[in-house]
Amino acid sequence: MSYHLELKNVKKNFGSTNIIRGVNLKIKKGEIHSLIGPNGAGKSTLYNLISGVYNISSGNIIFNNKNIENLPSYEIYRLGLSRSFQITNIFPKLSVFENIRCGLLWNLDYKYSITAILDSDKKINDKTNEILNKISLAGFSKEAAGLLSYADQRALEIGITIAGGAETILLDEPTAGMSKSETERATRLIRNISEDRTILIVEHDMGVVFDLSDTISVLVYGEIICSDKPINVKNNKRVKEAYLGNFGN
Amino acid sequence: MYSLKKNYKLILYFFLIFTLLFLPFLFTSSFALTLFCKMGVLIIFSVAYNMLLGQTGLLSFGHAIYFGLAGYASIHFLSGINNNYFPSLPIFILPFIGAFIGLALGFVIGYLSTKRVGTAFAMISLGFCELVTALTLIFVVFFNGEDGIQADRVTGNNYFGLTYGPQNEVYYLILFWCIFSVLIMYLLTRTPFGRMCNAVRDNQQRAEFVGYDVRKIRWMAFSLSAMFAGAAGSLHAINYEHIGFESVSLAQSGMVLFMAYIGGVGNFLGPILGAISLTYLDTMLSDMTEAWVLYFGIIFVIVIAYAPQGLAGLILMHDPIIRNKPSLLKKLAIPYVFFGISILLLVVGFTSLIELIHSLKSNHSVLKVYWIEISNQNFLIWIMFILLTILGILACKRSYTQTKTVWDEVIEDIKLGFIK
Ligand SMILES: Nc1ncnc2c1ncn2[C@@H]1O[C@H](COP(=O)(O)OP(=O)(O)OP(=O)(O)O)[C@@H](O)[C@H]1O
Ligand SMILES: [Mg+2]
Repeated sequence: MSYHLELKNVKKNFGSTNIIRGVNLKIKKGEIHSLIGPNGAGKSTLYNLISGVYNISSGNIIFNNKNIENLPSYEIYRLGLSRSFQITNIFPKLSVFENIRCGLLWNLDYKYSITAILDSDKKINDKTNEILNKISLAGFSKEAAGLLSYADQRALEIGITIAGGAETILLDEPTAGMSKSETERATRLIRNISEDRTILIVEHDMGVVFDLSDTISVLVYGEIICSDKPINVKNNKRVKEAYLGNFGN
Repeated sequence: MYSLKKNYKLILYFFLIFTLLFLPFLFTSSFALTLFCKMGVLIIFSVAYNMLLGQTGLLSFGHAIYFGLAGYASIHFLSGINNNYFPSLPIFILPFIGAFIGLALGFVIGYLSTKRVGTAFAMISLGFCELVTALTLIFVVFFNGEDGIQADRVTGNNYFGLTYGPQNEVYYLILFWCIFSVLIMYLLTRTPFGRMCNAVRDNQQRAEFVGYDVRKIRWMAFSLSAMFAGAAGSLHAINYEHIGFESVSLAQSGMVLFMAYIGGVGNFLGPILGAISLTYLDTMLSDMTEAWVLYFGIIFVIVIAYAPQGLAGLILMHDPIIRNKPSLLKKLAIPYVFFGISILLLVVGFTSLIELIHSLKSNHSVLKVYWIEISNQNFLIWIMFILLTILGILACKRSYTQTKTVWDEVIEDIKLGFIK
């Protein structure tokens, strides 16, 4: 069976330290796949490898039957893989509206156009508003993104990530640092966007993880120790020892 | 409502252009006209420069290269018309040639320098600036060394009856090009390319993750910015009928950086404000006092330290207040008045003191500051201005803290409105 996104024996070292030590990971089309593991396990690093922020040291990353390892980030994005970051990564001085609209430009085929005047282009502006409504930020569309509250900035980042219509989304701790009600709002948003997408999500909140996921993979010290359905992961002995403790018992 | 606002803006712009058209009739002195011409040229140059600095976040110390070299080329074309090489070349299209030269140079140098950002980019631009300045002094055939080159603009065919002899004809030429290029540069900011320039400036990683090759955006911005700088350089050459090595030098690059910064790099109109006010100050102060370079430096340092968003930034930071809760502006009025008075005290005290010190070098003991004559032999005068300066500093310090406290309260108030 061919997978939507597949990592084959991916390794990464920074200098002489091996951070990712031979990861094999298979993600099916349309699923919500969680990646969990202790701090410093290498989850964000793995994201950076998949999305082209870092070059890998060895191995293969296959996306839609195409090798994407070591491609520049923008090429990977153009193939339909979009991501959010653990530390909020938006355009702080641009308005909320502009933030989303920038996310739409490439896939609506504007490319590097120096002739299209965006403000008078109904199509892209309507689409932008549609996404703003989806992430409940329509009320702030004119404000500078940097002025938004933390939770709203996180929502905006998800908005930018999904704006271009990428089929595959990587989310890095989308609910970190949020209150309970904010977490609920974010979870709802993620479920909402997952309808016609494949989602890989890194998350520390086990409530969210077991609630959302179709599959869970556990990364410990740069290795995947288990990749299975939530119920099986919960009962896996190695996972309990390494990470979950007595969670859920 | 929206269309009303839009119409109102349009009317404002038409009124502005109308005024500009009639300016030569209001200010007939050749001094004023020369000043306006200089402003027009530098407006184009600084808006072009800000395409790079403010819009794309690239600090260049070498943007005079494109300005100056296009100027040299234009002077050569002028002599070419004079010498009957191409007698029918219309002078009003020279800026097109300048723009093309700017674009070509920007394309090549941009390719080499946009590989890097930040400090490395700035250093590369500095290197190119020094290199080109050296070239202009070495290749005497083309650049004529330190003397530069002269050419007569009253030459060739008089299209539309324009000879460019009288300064006001040059004024209209520059006005046309100024409006035309500023308009195009404005429209460019509204395009996908323009929006992505801002995006790259704000967060280049995010820009890559919406599908853009950030290097390419920088390269395009660099080339286009050089293109408009070239058009400005051409007009500069036509205006002075002379071009010299200083037009490609670091000093010229620094000047345009000052203009953009003091006007405000964060806003499209900022560099226009900067070009107008600095050209004015430059001309007026250099007439009034020999210490003007010092004042210039002080203004720059103060703006960088206390108002990094420049004049336009000072105005526009009130925008969120106006849009969300205009009533809060009233709270700011009183601290602003006090702050203004404090600054005035300081400026009067300090500049008088500087002028007093400066006057010691000459034999004249009487000097004029702010329309009054004082003597530098009078001890009391010295005491008075020293006290005034100290008072000004204290008052500024105090009213700055006060204003800031009120400002922070106001912003907190606005932010509260954002939390659902
Ligand atoms: N650019 C880098 N250079 C050197 N070491 C790095 C680099 N990036 C990450 N590391 C190291 O790799 C390890 C894994 O980091 P990573 O951020 O991937 O962990 P994580 O699983 O995302 O942790 P967290 O749950 O805290 O986000 C850490 O020890 C980190 O110090
Ligand atoms: Mg992480």
